[in-house]
Amino acid sequence: MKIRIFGFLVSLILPLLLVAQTDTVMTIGPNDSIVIVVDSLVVIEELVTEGEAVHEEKPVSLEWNGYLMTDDRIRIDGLKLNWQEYRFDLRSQLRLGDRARFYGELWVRGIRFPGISSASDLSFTNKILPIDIDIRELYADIYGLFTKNLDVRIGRQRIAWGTGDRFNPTDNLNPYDLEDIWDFGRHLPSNALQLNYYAGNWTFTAAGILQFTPSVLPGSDWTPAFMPQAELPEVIVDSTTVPGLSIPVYISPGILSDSIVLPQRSLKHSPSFGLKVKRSLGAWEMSLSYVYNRDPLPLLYRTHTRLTVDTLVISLPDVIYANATADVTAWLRYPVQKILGFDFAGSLWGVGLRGEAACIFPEKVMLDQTLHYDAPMLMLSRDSVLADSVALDGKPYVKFLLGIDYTFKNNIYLNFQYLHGFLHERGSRELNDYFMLGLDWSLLNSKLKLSLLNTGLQVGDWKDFAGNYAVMYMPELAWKPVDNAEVTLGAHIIDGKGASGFGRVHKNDDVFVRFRFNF
Amino acid sequence: MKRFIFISACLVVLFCLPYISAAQMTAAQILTKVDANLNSAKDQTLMTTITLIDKAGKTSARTMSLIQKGSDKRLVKFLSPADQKGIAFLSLPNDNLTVYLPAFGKTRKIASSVKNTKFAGTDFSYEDMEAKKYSSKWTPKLLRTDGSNYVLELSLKSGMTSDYSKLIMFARTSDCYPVKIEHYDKGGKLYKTITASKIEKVGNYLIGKETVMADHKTGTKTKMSITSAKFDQGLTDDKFTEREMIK
Repeated sequence: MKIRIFGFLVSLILPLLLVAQTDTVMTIGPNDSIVIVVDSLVVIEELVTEGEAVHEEKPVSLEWNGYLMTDDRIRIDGLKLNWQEYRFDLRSQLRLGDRARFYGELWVRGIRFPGISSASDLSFTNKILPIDIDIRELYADIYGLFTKNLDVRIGRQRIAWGTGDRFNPTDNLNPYDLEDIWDFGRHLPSNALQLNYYAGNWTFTAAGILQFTPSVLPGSDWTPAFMPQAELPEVIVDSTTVPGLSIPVYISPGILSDSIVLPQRSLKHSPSFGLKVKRSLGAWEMSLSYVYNRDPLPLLYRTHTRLTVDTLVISLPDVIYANATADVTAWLRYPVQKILGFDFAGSLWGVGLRGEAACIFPEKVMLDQTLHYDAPMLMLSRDSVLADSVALDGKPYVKFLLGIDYTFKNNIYLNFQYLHGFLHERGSRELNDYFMLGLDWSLLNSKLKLSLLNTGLQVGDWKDFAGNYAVMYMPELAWKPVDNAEVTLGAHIIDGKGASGFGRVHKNDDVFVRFRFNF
Repeated sequence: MKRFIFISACLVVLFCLPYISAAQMTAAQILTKVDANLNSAKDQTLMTTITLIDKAGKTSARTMSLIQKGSDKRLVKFLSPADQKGIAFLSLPNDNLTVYLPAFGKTRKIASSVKNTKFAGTDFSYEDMEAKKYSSKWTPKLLRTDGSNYVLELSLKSGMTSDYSKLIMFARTSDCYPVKIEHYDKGGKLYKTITASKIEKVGNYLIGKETVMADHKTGTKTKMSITSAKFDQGLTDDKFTEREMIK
């Protein structure tokens, strides 16, 4: 933690030192260069060769801003405080005229509840009032490097692609940050190098990330919405499954454990990269992209079940059965994927139109299942390899989004999106349909915003709509009593049926109050 | 004596010539000169402070930088308040509108329906902020000369759309700089009034350093004060790009 803070401060101070040397820099010869060290990354910037041009640049400036946010949520079921986040966001940017910019964003948060389990924990402030510090972004921009049309960004950064509103099938370079499921669209930053080359209405982008970073998953109470339900059979009667014991075996779950297998930190296994070409055509823009990376959500690829027969029930002469405990160990990994993306945005008759499509070419992954069987009283102990099944079939599939928005004269903003395939859904058969409606009404010179019809609908199976759907209702009322301050009251209500992802978490309804002050 | 009378007559004519020609200016000529006053700079770089004044007189301020080339390329960046800092609007011809929201880290095309609303919470609509020439959209009629001002009535040309049914423009007789424009709604009622003051010459151009838009329906006002103005800096087209928005 201390190293992180130190790194952040160093990265802010170093540019200051650089600014202090600016006058000296001006006297260096045209072919000399300066070295800027930012968070262990080294950038070599060529100096401007024409002194006149230097004097025409914008002045050096250092800016600080940020916000304080509090977010308290009460779960309706049980009236339990289930989320409390107090966040201090600090941003700083240093501009070196038109040539470079350094930017850093730091979060200091109190988001965890006290982690006290014994009296000794009461002696540790960080267990009573836990604080987390995250460097959200920390990068340097060099404008016009080598050629006036090339901009370089190096450091920890967010590479946001796609034209959709929060739901972006083509936004795949940064891992997801699903810590707060209601702050959808949030991604973790990546330590990356990004190049942007501008040529008229064309923009060519290349981005590379050396180190694989997995996504942050939501808390355990959201797991049913994002993970397929794996259920143990209650009884096994097939003697081929439990060799040597052709009697019914009633199973109760034992210890469930898992192991995450990260890719090797080698150039062959860990890096990801993306390429994008964007074209502006008047009021329209469109882009084509390609991403090679690892799916940032883990995939189950191996299980080992240890079945221990605890009791044998014998009722001669007719009925014999066994009770057993199953301990399951699961292994998960991050498969390779290649993604071809297309997006567009524009306006027709005053209506905003946007769309994204991502064709995903996944790695084929088999599910390897083994079983060890123990029946001590029968002196049986055997290993069994179950038939492999397919975890990910390797066939390409397409996720896409279409959206429209319109602003009415009475300051009502309508935003509607249709999404085919949520971020965690893999394979064409697993993709659900989602419809999102947002309706914001700004009143009193934008001091009051009513968003009472914000809804989402998930359809798991069109043939059985009534039995397989989820509805999300997210009304909000935001009030700005003074400039820079906003209080928001709202609720997250979920209802659903069947195996639809969000239908399984329908008890996670909450009401919240959020306060934010920008400075 | 005859020579004296002739010279005196010539001097009187020369002295009065501007007034005679001004009096003879047609409504179209006046409006053309108004447009020339407002749009003759090839480009401009402005720093402005916008003060929102509510019905009760409470104020809140925001600052922004604005660069403009010709009448149809404009880039606005908000510098304050903190919750709007960094937001940028790029306006290009043919309703090509783009917004940059720092919180999302990317630019986004916005539909022209956004023009249905007020600009950034002010009393100016997007239409009010447009730099289009009045003469290309409105047909002028000279109502009268009111003291030191021409009073023109502008009615919408066929094929043009506007939130207003007509405008009444007060332009100074001395230089045709518009000092007040009344905006009437579709029902013919006075809707908004814009007044310009602190009119000064900066370089070769006249500029109203303080502009107040009053919305008579809501009772609110927006004061736009220009704190710095530069003209004809030779701004190139690449200053009006998404690349510049995110810098």
